[in-house]
Amino acid sequence: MEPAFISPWLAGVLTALVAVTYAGVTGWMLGVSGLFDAALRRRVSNEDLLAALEAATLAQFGEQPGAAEGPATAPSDRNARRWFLPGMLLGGLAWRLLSPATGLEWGTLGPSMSLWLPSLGARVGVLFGSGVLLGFGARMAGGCTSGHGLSGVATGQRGSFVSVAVFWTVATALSAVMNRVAGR
Amino acid sequence: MRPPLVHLAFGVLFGAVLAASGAADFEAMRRMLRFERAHLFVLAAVTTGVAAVGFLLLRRWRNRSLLGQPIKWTKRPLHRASIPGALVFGLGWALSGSCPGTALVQVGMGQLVALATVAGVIVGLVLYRAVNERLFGLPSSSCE
Repeated sequence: MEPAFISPWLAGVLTALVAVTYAGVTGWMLGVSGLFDAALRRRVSNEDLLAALEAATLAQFGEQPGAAEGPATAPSDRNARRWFLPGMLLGGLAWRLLSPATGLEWGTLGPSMSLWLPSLGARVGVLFGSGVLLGFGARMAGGCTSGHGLSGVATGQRGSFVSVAVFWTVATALSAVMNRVAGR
Repeated sequence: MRPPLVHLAFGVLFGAVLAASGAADFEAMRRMLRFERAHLFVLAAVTTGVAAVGFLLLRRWRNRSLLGQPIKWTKRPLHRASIPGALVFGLGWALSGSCPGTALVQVGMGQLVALATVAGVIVGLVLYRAVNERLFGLPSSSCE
């Protein structure tokens, strides 16, 4: 049974409200790969302190590309935002418990994946490799689907418009090739 | 409410909305990338439009968050790593049908195989940091 999704119009409004309210309440723009990156750092690392010093210096004397506006952020605030990640996992769990969907299995992401990659080992390998590309690419491009696609484009950032256009084009082109060549 | 709990609560909301909307569904994502269904295109367009207005209003009304922090209007300029990075990201997106956030939601939904995607994302981030420092020396920006 295919999961029943809520209307994309309602979902779009809700997603946007979460992102804007998140900024208004916490002061952070939503961007998941940046949160992953922050979570990988030590609790109060030298990198955090240097970033805080750099942000304070830039706020006082000028700006450079990539710098956030405003005064420095306390390391404790940077640490608190890591909690967003387990929250996302719990959000998925909450929906699973509340929704009538029954088609979700632990060892695959869907029927078409099982058809394309029949063995569990192959699915794990492809997903791990894809994850490496996602993490590496997001860090290199300065954002992912949430940081660039949501926060960046909605605030008119040039780098986000270009990055979204590129990763959307590449993803649809590769999907078309996979569909044509392998029927996946 | 303590800041970690606030971030956790927003994470729950965001994760639940991604799950309920189909954005974290592999099959729905594949159908979007093959232009077979408009569902997620509509979602992306509505999200961006409403968020653009919301951020505009927020910027006019407030410069500090309710938790007392300055709102960090992150700049995302185009740099020489933007296009190659987005290219690499797009390949991973098409192959996994996921992005870093939706992979976490998939794990929460019980699709534990997505732990492989999450592990890959972590390795990719660490790998980029190491490779960039040694080879590229490109701007060290991230998805904040």
